[in-house]
Amino acid sequence: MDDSAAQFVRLWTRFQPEVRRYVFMLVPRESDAEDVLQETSARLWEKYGDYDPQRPFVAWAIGFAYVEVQKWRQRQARERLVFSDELLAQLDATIAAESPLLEVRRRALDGCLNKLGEKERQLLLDRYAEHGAIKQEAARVRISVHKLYYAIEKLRSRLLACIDTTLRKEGWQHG
Amino acid sequence: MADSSPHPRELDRLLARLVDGIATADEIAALEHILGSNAEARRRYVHYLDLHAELQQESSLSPQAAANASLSRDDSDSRDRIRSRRYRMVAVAAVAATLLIATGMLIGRQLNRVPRNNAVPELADNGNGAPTSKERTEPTDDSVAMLTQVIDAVWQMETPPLTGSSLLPGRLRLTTGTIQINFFSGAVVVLEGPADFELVSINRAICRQGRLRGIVPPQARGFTVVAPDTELVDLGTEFGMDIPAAGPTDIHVFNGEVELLPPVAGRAPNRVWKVTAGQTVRIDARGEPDAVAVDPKLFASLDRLKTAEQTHSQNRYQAWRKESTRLRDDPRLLAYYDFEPRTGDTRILHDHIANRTAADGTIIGCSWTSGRWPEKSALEFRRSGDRVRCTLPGQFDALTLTAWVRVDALSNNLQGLLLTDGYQVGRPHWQITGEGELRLGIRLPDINSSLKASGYGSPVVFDSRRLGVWTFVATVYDRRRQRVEHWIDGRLVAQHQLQFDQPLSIGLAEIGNWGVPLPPDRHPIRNLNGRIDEFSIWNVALEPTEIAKLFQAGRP
Repeated sequence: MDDSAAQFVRLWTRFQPEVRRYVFMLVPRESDAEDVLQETSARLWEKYGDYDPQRPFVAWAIGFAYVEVQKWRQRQARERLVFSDELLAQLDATIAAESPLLEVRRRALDGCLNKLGEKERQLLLDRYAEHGAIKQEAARVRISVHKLYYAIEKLRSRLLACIDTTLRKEGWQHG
Repeated sequence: MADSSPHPRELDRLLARLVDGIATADEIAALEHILGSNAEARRRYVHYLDLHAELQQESSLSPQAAANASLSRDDSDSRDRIRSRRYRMVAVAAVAATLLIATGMLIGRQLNRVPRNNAVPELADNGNGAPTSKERTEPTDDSVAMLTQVIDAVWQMETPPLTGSSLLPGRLRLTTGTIQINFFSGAVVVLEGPADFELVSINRAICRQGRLRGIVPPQARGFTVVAPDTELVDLGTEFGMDIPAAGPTDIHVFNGEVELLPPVAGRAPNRVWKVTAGQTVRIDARGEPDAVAVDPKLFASLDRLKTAEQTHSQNRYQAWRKESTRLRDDPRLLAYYDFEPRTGDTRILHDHIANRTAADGTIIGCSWTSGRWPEKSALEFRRSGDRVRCTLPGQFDALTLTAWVRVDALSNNLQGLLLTDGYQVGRPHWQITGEGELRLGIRLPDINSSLKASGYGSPVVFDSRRLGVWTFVATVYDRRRQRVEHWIDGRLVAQHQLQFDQPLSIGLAEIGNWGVPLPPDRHPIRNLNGRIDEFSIWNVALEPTEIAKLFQAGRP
């Protein structure tokens, strides 16, 4: 009864970030990802009666999120800034395959951030704190927008390389 | 595969422009082309976007970033574009609130909900790796209650129910001791032996003998206990019944009220009696209640359950601790994890072997929770990433693996107890199958082309009766006796001849999951769905008496 709503809200609040990440990987534009997430949460609540608490919530939720991504993609079909259905399916499979290792990678990120120089780390974190306000950020640190994008791009690639190395050292087969 | 291998720098540049929101239509098309034809590029994509999401989270948590964000508060352009984590939290709360309001309207539908046998969409591997929603009918479960506490019970049954297990309709016979049964309707019955108690449905029971106390919340109104000389229908209350093997039933109502009906033979419309709070009655020969002075203290023994349970668990926990401390001096142990975290160091699973280099494990994901007793710690494995990584060097002619584990659900997949990375020759995979069997799998050298791997199974041990129940599992691999044995709760359940004689080694391995599955790059999910609160690995084949003793020392 009322319990199930409270239970759902608890589960959704707890696992929504994981579902969000999943959606964002397929719909890599935040405003669109938010729309899909909203639709997903509505659908999940509708279907919550079918949810078997013995099963992992995230896996259940992601099944619906994927359907919502597809629906969203059909609505956007005329726009070119969208991945094809085939690619969405491929990416979905890649996410499923990679997800066990993503947590390990996130853990490795901390160490890798510490390996960056203080200035570099700050530049990166500031850019993310500003969240896309690259123009302001460029003005603040007095470099061109183009250069700032490039600097951030380089830093992300370095972090990825560092994470790959860390995982190899920890004995994971796939770097 | 006709992979178009892009220059990695080119891929990273496109990905950067994508996540920075400045990719052009042409660039998206280029990305689509690269990703569509190259699996490695897709992995890079997933890693890149996850890194992006993680950095976003990190920055929103760093105080410096928060300070900078507030600097630009005057700048309306940037303010519009800031989507801080806090903003999202508000959004989550709003969704949650809406849902709570919506529930009011949905109650009618919820009442009819039967979650046990419904088709649910699930992620299915359809071969090419793309999950699809498919309908599946889940197995039904006819249980009506759960056995939640058992104190000093002596059962008069061949297979007594396990503490924590679900109970099917049927008869429970207790010679002495006290048990607590939680009916799925919400009614709770504390029962003291000698007792003969039959569960009929989630809201009905027959008691032929026994002393019981019923605690009935409003949603279980109508909970009924049938005694030989009367039938008690509860109207939302707390009551006691004393039903002797022969003689009249006594009833005391602590709170609220109950209705009494005569046995079926004597039913008539006017023959219903109400008994209200504070009243005590005795059923007479005609099946009618007579107010009598029955000492309510008669039921006091049932109150002791709570304290008894606490003392019991504390005693058991202390006894286990003592045994556990003694155990770690055993030179035959390769690793011993007692799952008792040291303060401030909760991401390390400590190997407690005395006087030796410890094989501490690294906890990834998982959450600390309670174990066999409230005082005992355990790790809960639930998400696909939950795992403990450890390294155990060496090669062995014999191995014994033991664990106290609580399996909460069976999934379609295998669930890992201890899996070595990959699946290499001579490296064991100790796991639970989707059917609930215990299984030891070992990869054979490739020369044996007819048989790639040897597998040693057990009968189904994790059936519905054992789900949610703490269980001691042990598996022995012994080259000298050419044998593999599986033990459950100190009892041998399976014994096999060795299919192939080879030494075993472990190396990099994981408790509760499978670290590095085989290529190709799909990672099957093999996380345990449950808890572990003790784990030991021995470089010998433990004797039956030793396994039985380990079980006795640790039983809940």
